[in-house]
Amino acid sequence: MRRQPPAHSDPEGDVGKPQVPSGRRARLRDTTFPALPAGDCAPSWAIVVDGFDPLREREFESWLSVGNGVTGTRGSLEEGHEASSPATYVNGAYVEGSGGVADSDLAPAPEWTRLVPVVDDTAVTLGIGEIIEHRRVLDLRHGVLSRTWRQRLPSGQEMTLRSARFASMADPQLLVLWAEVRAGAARARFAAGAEEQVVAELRARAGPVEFVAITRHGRGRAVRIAAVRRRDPNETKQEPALDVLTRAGRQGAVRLLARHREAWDARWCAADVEIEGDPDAQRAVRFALYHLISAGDASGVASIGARGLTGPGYHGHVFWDTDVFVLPFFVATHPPTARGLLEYRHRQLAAARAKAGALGYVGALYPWESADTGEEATPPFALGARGERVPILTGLQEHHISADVAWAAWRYWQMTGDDDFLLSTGAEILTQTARFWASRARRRGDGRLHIGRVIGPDEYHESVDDNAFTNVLARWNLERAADVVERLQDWPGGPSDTLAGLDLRPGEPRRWRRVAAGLVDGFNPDTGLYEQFAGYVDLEDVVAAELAERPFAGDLVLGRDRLRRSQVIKQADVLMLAHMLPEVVPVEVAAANYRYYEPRTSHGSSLSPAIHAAVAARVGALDEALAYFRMAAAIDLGDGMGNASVGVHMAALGGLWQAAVAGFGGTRVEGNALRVDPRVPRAWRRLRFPVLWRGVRVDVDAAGDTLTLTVEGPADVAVGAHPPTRLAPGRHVARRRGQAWSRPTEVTPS
Amino acid sequence: MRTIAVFPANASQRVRRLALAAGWDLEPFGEQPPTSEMAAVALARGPVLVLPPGARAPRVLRRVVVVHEGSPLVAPAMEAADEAALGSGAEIVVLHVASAARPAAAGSLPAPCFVDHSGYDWEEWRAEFLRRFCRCSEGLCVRLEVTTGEPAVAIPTALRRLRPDLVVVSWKGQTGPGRGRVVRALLRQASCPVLVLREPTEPEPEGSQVSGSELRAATGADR
Repeated sequence: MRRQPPAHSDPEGDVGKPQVPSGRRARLRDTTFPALPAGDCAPSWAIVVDGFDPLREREFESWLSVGNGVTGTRGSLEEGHEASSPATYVNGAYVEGSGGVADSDLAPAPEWTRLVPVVDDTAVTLGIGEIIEHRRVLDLRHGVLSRTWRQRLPSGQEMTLRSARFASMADPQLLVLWAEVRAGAARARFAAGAEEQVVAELRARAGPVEFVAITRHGRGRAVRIAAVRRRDPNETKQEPALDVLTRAGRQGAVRLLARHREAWDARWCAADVEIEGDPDAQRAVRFALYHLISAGDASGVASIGARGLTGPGYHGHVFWDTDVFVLPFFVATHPPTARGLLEYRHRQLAAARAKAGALGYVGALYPWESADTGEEATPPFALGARGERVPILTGLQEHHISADVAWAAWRYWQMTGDDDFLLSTGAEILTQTARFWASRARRRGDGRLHIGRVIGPDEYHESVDDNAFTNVLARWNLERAADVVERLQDWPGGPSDTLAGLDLRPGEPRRWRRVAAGLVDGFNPDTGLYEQFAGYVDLEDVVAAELAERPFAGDLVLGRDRLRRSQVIKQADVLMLAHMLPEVVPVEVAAANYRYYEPRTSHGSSLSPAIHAAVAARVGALDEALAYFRMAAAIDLGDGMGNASVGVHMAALGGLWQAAVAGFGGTRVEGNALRVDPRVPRAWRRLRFPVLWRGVRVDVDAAGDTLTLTVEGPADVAVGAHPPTRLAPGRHVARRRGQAWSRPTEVTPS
Repeated sequence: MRTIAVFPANASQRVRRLALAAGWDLEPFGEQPPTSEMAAVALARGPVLVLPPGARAPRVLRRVVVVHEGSPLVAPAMEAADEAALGSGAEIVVLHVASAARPAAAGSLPAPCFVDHSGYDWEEWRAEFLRRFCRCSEGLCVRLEVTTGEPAVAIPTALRRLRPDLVVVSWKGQTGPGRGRVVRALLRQASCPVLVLREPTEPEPEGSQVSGSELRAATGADR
């Protein structure tokens, strides 16, 4: 086991004490104190935590994180508390594992928010005296966390502390905190000198991360700006953190805040999902979008871990959660971030090819868990519920990850029409993953091709043969790779140069199509059902819905051995296929499989409820869809549901957006058109959201029996069950007649 | 100082010494003492230290087991275990039966219903459980032991393996299914003294909860 030096130069992570003396100093030239937020944002735009509950504090810290894709800072109290787990994470900055089962951890950076109020020489914490008022408000719209804290001190004096912080969305290297403390006639200040500068270095495996913070104190006020610089291979010459900080110091916190707010406004303008008539659903979806936007990194250097940058959970590792659950949100609202996430996968192709080679295959087999190197980061074993040693087979068997990445690349290219991406990145991902599947499939005695010993999305059943999700997605991957090669051969102006870099063997695309055609998929045309894997129907027919109130962890209810022998499944598996490939699984087949698999699903994965919401909406089961939507929303926001103390669940949040936009909103790609077929639950008066379709903004507004589409440019759109039509820029309206939408008519040309 | 009753009244001197070492005041039952262990804990308003039939009180307290359902309402039981362990430096083992049941009290942390990754989720849940509920006096060793199964069966089974010198359990005073069955099983089967405390009653938490009932209604599972 390799040993690593300490993560950064100050093990306490306290920027209140300078760690490395620096000859150069940044200056806060503009020391204007920004107005502190009033904390009165509209309920649908705010996450409010009143009082102080040490039991749930770590959960709230995850909720209240501020982030910008480069850094994420938990919403911890500035002065600290024993119930708190403060941390700031720098995306992509991994260090060797800290002794648990994982071999790499997302390392915490210095604790830049530390600021201790002092009243008459006594450092004040929540435990000293009595809390009169304590309120934290996360302004989702502008990405600012503010706090008001009034404390009656043992002396009888009343102290008021107000603070605000943000991770700049306009300049993702910057973090800003400002605070004010007052205590009547008593002397109130923050523990520190007049102006202090702190320099630290985070020794990440991928290269050092520079951290510099400067704080200006005066008259009970403090303004702190921190700059973070991680190594970016895209940049030939990197501006040192100190220069970034100096530049920021010239602008001052007021200007930085204004630019940050503008940047958030722009992101919400492109992404907001409005739900009228259901305040809880509205707040939940904005909470989801806030954390998705906060986690997105367009650099291509890093991706999005399973808990984003909101906590230490899952060691910051990246799973299919990002490619399948999170990325579609960015494809539709901020394509540069989606492309960055795919470039992260592209950078890891060499490691993915090495993994495939090590297992005796060719092409690219992505790691089930990845960090910075692209090598498999899944631990070989873990401790289960009772502390027993449990082998973890996902790193060895959950191969659908390769097709998931290919699906993400294709989805991005389909939605954006970004040919540059296809040429530089997408084609190689698609062909390398197809090459893997071609080598992975084996012909058996029945003359058909099979994929044996895999784990599908339902991880309750390991080492299964012919998982329908895996096989159908592999087939789809093979076909799309062959399509891409043909497209490159027929590229306008002659065959694309990209072809040479793909290292194609003669006839390889034709072989991919033959393999695709020969793969079994477990589909029974008589019943319309996919068998989840070979032999699934022979398992004990146990209906999860009758065992316990869902969601539940299957092994706790049935025991691990019986669970494996039963039809109880963890999460959407065949239904995941129906969700991801609606062009392969038509609605009547989706409906049949929903009716069969839904009762057998325990939803013991946070990835399950949102996908069930989306599929239920598609098949018209709107009450069930809404119940699943609420279940997905409660994963982080409900008390005692998930363990949000180690970070929010990014896949569930991405899934919530998909449930709203693809499920209830009924949007999906169909050939060269965007299909829009909303099915809005009765409880929602209106559902409104934008999507970017091939560079054109399409605003979908479904209210009762009226569907309004506003397009900013010409766009090929299909409404309801009608064939695609080219909509001119302007406003188009369709009416619901029974279960169907009319053709849209143009009412307002732009 | 905590005041407890002891049952049976003629429990061994060791039981009384155990209580006194923990700093607990002993209080006799009223004029009509209960006739059974279950009646004793049902009648008493405060904690009752019971020596089940056939159980032996330890000479020295080495291990205290707290039965914990992952609810903040169990805090008094943790405090009592802390008091008992402090004098002798006994180890505290927090015993949790991981199940699909979810306590209603705000701030509860039942076993995770979403286990996306069987390694990380359990590890992280255990760490959070210990931080949330298992803080004890400095110097005391606390660990979490998780078992599965029907609690009234799984807990006595786990206790036979753990061989505690004292079991601390809290309940709401109901004798029916659920914790009532657990208490009944402990008072019959435990081989060491059992301290039973009454849980405070608390209203259900506000805010969004998982919509299992809504899902049942939507999917027709209620029908």
